[in-house]
Amino acid sequence: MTRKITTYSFFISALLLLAMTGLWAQGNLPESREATFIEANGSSEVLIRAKGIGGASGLFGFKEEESLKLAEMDARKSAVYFVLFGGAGLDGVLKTEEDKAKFQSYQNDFFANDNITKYISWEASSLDSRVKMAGGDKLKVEKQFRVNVKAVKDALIQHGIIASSQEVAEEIGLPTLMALPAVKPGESPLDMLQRDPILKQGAATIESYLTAKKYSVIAPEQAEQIYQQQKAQMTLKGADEDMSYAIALSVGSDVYITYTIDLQTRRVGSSDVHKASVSVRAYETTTARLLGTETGYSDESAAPSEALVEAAITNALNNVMSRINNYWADDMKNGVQYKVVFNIAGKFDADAKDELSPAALLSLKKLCNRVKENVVSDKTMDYLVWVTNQDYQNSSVFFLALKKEFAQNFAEGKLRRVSANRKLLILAVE
Amino acid sequence: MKDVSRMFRFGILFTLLCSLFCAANAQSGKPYKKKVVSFVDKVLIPANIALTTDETDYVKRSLSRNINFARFNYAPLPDNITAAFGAAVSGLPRLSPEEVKPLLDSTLAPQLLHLLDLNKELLSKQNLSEEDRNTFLATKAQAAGMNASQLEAILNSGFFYIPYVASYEHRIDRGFREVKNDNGKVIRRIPLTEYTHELRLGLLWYKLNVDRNNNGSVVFAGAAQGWRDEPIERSAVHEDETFEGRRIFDDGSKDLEAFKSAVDVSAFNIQVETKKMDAFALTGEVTGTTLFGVTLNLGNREGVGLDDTYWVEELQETASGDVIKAKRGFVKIRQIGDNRNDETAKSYAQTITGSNYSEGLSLTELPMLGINGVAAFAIFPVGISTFDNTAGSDGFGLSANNFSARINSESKTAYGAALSFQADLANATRIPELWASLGGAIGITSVDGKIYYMNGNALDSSDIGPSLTGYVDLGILKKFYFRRFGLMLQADVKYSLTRFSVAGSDGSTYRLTNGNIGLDGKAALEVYVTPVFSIGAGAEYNIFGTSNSWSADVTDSNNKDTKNSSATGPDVKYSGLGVYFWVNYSLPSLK
Repeated sequence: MTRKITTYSFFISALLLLAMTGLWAQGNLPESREATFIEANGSSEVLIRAKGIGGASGLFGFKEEESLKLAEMDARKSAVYFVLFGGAGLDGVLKTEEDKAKFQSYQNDFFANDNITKYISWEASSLDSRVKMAGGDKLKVEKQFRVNVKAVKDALIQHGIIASSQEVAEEIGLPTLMALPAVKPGESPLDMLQRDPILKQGAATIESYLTAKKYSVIAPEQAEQIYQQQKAQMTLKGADEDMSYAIALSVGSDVYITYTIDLQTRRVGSSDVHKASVSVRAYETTTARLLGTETGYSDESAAPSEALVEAAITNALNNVMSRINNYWADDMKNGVQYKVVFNIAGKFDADAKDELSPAALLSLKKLCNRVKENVVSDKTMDYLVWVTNQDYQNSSVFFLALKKEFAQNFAEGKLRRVSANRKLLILAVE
Repeated sequence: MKDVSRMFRFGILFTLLCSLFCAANAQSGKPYKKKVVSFVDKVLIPANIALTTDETDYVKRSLSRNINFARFNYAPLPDNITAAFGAAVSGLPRLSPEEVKPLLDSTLAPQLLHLLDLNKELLSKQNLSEEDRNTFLATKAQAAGMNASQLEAILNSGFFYIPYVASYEHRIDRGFREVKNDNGKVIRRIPLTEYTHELRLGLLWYKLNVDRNNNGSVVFAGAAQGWRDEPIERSAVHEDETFEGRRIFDDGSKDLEAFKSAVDVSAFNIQVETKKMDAFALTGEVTGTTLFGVTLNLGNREGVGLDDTYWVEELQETASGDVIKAKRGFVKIRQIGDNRNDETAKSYAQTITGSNYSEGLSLTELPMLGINGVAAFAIFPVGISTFDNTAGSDGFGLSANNFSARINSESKTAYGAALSFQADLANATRIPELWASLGGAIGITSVDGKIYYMNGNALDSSDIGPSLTGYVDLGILKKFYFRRFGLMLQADVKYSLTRFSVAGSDGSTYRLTNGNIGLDGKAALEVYVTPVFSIGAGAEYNIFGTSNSWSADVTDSNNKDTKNSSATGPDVKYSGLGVYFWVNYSLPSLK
């Protein structure tokens, strides 16, 4: 009998504990979690429309005012939740599973009522909708909020949930970026920039956004000069067709961004209204690999086209940049990346030529953390390497070390530097 | 006639369909957005009806005056355009919304579209919400350009109205008015002409729709009728001769006066019916709550008026997941926000029914006439003292068929029915719940007494018994509401009348009539049952002087009247306490 009572007590206690855990797990987290992204207001704020659910009852039944307050608070939390975890049109601040796991221990405090309001920079004074839910004990409201994404990130950084871009910058540096309009094969993006003011506005918007976030940005005018100087040496596969790739390589940007602006116009009455859609693509310079793409849209409006382009670009960039940052953080774990191209300029017999490729590979493997062979032919050997040795973060120092190592592995020839920047080494074997 | 009836039926069906559509797609209380209204300077009249130019002009003017709402922006169309429409519509074999629509499409729609287009940016600014002002374009880009949907909304906010006459009857009746001397003898029959107009007048409403290619076309939106079941009937009398027999020229002014009266009543009804149309009903949102009421985001810019009634509604999810709009109660406007000058100004409404209101609930106007009809069961004081003038031969001093009376005991009270009309003066006086009251009562008071008269050579008598009494009064009424309970204080000027009428066995009818003017003050409690129906009970105290001046008259078996207007009779005192129980109904229209 005593045993039975003990057993029952144990099960009841376990059930209660489970229930309480469930309740505690919900804790301060939003109940609704429904939200939609409306637009980005610059680089640090986003406009979100969020729904919230709340209900309070008392001795005399449903408490309307209190329920409304609870629902509005839930909507605020849902808006911030959306910014944290992302959704359609917006990448979340918590990108990796690791970040999300770390956040779990902090989430209850983060979503406390008095904490969450810190991240709301503006809130509409009226509701978009208000519905009493089936059962009559809860209200569902919808409202617009402007969430300060930067403040959210700062809070997470402070609690060690995500790394600050400053820390990353100090550790591995921020990627150097360049923005060019997307063009047809063979066309010059630099020429397009000069001809089309809307494209120029697009480049200016992207540069403004990036510099606000403290990225290193190479302006097209700088790129033009360097590219012209380096053009002759850009004997790379694909360089002729994809000039953006060629220009990015020549200036040594880590990532280059291309964008396409589409402006649609129609008449409403006698007024022209426009809608801008901007596709933004980010590529890894060394490989022309696509890192991320997003299309941003503006409202359809009679506002000047430049304003609409800026709105569309801002909407797109928020997501693209998060993907670039992810790529950068991952890539930098392997070290600094170089594209190393060996042009076989000297006259070598067949045996010597056969030994060239292994010699180059061995030399690179000796110095680099990771080596990837792209193309090996009679004339060219193309490699991607990652270097973790702090001494080799500079391309000139790396070249000297490589030259020395190559000399040990291939006595018949010498390495000469044709062109070198922070991403690309074009070497001649003579 | 048949065409117009068909037109009317089509209009009602279309209005119902539109209403259903609007109810299913109701937004949750977003502020009413002003419509742009244009009107056609033409009255659609069936071929079998003829109105004079003066009459047609008056119809247009009266409608223009009555359909003058702050909730509309008016866009008058150029005369040449409306004239072109008028000419085109005159040539139509039949008048129906379908027949008229193509003419509107080709003549008026392009012009209204042009006017809307010219003003769309300005009109859009009126409709900008707080969210619109906080977008990226508005804040960072500081672009004043409206977005396309706002501009399209303006282009699609245009409406036309066209007056139409569904039926009209004009009657001229000839008669006489008898003039009697003090003795009740008919001394003159004055010929008169009575002009009667029976009118069914309404407005056809059309909405301008603009598609994505900027092509405008009109859609019939509904009809606002100036009548209910029966036509509006008004009469006026012209006396064709003076007392002396001189002919009075009939310039038609009385005829026109009756017509104008019918038109004015119709136009007044049309005003209310127009406000009831879904496209024009004011809707808003509760922005805050106080102990006794709510604030709302409507004000004088939308034409909100004092004492206006609004339903408080809430979207509710059913068990099956549908969202319906449920009424929670109603409120009445007590303060109007000046949002013409201050966009953040709010109006205040007192909660009458419903509770637990909070922000975000929607408010929908319940347009009312502002005129109530009150029907009551009344117990009112009529004090008639004992009296005896049977001694002597004077009686009531008639020159022929003289009679006298004896009243054995005092009567104090009459029981009857009262009817009054109350008109809301709130907007004219800026005092909420201030009403003018005009009414009357008729009742029976039991008189224990007899009338004595000569029947041949013998003295005969007849019982007086139940006698008619009543009054008419005009006064001011102030109501103080706490929730659905209203305390009413009323003061009136009253004219009371009592009449004894006894049928003698000699075939004559003997009458005694007394009238007096006094004052009364009333206190009452009224309770709202619905926004248009309430019940009440109250007590009044009448202050009258004592009067013993009666008018005695006899109509003999040959219909000959004899009268003495200054006879002395029993003391009559209308002072004292009265009690009433009533029902109060907000009239849907004037008749």
